[in-house]
Amino acid sequence: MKEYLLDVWNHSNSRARVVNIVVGVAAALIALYLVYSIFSNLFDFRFITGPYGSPDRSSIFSALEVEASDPRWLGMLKGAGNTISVVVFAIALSSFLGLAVGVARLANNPILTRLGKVYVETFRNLPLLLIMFFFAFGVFRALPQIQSRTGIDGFFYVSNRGLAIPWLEPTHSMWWIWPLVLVAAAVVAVAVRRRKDRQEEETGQSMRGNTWAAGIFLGAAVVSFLALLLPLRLTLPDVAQSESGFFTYAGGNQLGLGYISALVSLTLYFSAFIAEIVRGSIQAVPHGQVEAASSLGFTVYQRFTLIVLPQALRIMIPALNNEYQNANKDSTLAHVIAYGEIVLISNRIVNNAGNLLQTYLFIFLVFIITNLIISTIMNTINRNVQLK
Amino acid sequence: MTTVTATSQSTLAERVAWAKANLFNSRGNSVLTVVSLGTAALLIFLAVRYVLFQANWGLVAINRRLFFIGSYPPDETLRIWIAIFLVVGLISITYGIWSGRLRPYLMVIGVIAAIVLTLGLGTDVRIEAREFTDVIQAGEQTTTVSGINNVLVMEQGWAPSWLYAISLGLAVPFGSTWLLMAAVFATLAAGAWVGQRIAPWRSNPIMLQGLGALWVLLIPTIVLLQIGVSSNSWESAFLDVLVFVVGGFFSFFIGLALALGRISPYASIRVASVGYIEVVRAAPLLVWLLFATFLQDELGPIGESFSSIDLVYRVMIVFAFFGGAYIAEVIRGGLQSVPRGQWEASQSLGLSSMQMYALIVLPQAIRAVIPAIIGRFIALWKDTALLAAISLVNTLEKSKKILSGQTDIAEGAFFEVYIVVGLIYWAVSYMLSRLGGAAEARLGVGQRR
Repeated sequence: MKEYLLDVWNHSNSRARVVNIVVGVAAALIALYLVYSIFSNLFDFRFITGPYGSPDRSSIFSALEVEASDPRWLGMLKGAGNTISVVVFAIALSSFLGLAVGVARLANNPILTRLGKVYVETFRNLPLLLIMFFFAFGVFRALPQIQSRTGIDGFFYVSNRGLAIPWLEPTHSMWWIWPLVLVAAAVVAVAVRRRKDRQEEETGQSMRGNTWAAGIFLGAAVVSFLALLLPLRLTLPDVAQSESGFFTYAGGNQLGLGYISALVSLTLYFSAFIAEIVRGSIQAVPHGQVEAASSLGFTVYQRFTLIVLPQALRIMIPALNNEYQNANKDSTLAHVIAYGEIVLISNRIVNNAGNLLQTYLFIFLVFIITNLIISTIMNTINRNVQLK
Repeated sequence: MTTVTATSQSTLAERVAWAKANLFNSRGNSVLTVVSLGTAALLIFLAVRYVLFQANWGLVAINRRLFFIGSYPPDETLRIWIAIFLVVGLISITYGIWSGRLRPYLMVIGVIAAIVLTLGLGTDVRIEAREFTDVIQAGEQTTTVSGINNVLVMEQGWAPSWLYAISLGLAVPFGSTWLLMAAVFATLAAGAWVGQRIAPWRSNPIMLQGLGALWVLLIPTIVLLQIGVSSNSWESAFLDVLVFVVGGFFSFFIGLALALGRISPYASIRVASVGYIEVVRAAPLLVWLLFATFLQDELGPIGESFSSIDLVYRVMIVFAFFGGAYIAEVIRGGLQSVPRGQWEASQSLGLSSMQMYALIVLPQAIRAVIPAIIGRFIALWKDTALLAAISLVNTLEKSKKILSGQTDIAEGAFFEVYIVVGLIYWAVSYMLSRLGGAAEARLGVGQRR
């Protein structure tokens, strides 16, 4: 018997089968245990129709503000929307800032290079949550009071309650058609530009692809804006005093302390990482490319935008993909500074209803889906910039 | 950049030539120089003015203990000091063995020691209760309000206040802490010196393995030193360090196991490893931490026994398993960088797969990714700040408590507190990143194109 077992163990095929069976059964048991314990709680999904309970006004979009009477599932969806509305702007802003700092670190000017280095080393080595605390409990709390009307009067205010900025306000209920028209126009414009570019390549004559695309997009935007009877209008913020003497913002849009602190901190923190990615990618472009461009008489600006940056993008994008997904996940920290994103809403539901597994499964799904979206977008861009 | 270089021995003419070649060689660059010089000057001016003349460092000085060990029982602090001496001794000896340059190291230690040990001599900070009476006039009526105000009183020692401000309130007055700090700095200097003395034997396997064993034993020792102290009293920077050290230590081994699992010849192990890594990495650390905090009986008996563990230990477990998933990906990259020929050669030499990994593959694989592993450790260190989100009192949460609990003396002084807390987090990350840079340079990982 013992010899037979040894034989089985020493023969690679039968050993593989044994190991696979043992590990497979163990993993299946663990999975079964988890599924069983999840389902023994999870079958109960009645809690998601109950009222959310307390209002949350930290969103920047009035449609995403959670009302007390909202069912819990709607609250969670709005929380996910709030996560996305901070992540999208944070990614966009930190990319621009990171590009600027990354390029500054490679500038021919030693002072600018040092400044860039100090910026990167400062924000890269501090915890994100500390930066958020610093802004939320420090800087923004220390801002002047709302009555002082600090800012550009009638246009932009800053106070210890947040920022008030000009905003677009729908004038009728069908306003949402306009953004859809914009997306459609953008798709058409890109297609036209691609066709013009192809013709330009074939015939050698300038077809003005960019001009055509811009014309189509802007034309469609203006025409549809007029055709839809001006669906949006600009509202400017103002400081108003209620009858009971309280000061509030009226008009425009109010960006609360939670949102602003989260946005500023995510931007500063991730721009430092993106700056390092940009620097590394630009340095990885062979120096011969720069020299060749110079000897062909390219200006510094042309050399950078036409030769260096397109090649650096190829190296940059996989790393940026990673960093954007990190930014998405790290936006959860904003719940500590009372921004009503997905974790804050879910935690309140867990506190009230106690359905931990279901709500956390939802958070999990939100991050799997949003990260999948980010990586799909980045991989599409990656395919387009790679050498074919 | 042009070849004109400027050093401390350069003449004025050479410096002017360098500036002309690098700072004012074109109109655009001149504008950049002026703008960035102006920005830098403004930033430095504001920082210096704030640190030396505006900030109230007495607030930091009186809470110095809270920043580092929080409410750790005062009679038991010797345990922490022993741990500090072990860590400091081992770090300095290792530094001395592997770095040939002792002078810059000693200079940095000397400057820090001078700031911490001399500037605080004779300073006395205390909170005094002072009676106050205020006359409030509202219309016709006048009301007299009297009560007791807590006031921060700071008596300066020999150093004028602006000089003391350089230490950000961290300089210690003479006493037992002063003596122990002096001993720490002395150990840092002496350890490096000893390390340099014994450096010639660094390729001796006995010494190498001995040092490695000491490093591996260090972490259990630090933890064992805490037996008998309730985990409720682990607070502030000490808590951060403890969670980081324990979590980081175990995450390395979990990551190693997972990375090897990913390339295992057995399909089931491969699938299980990949599944684990992907699931853990899909959700943010904060979500895992909150889940570990909230979990009660939802996952049956396993969840129940998990939730009966002390919160601090649960957090350490989450850190180890979360960090492990990321380190596994890093080590996988290292394994892929080992040339195929190395595996084939060790197989054709008849090594068992255990020998192949332990002697041939892993040393090369881990060597290649040491900078990346250090990068993961930096991230893990910064993640310890998240403990503030789950009701554990780490440095960040302590700063919040100081600001909200001492409103009479800390009103509006958030800047001072966050600067010191930021410095604690920043210093460790920066040292680790320098370590990563040094490892990269030494191993030549980043040099290959």
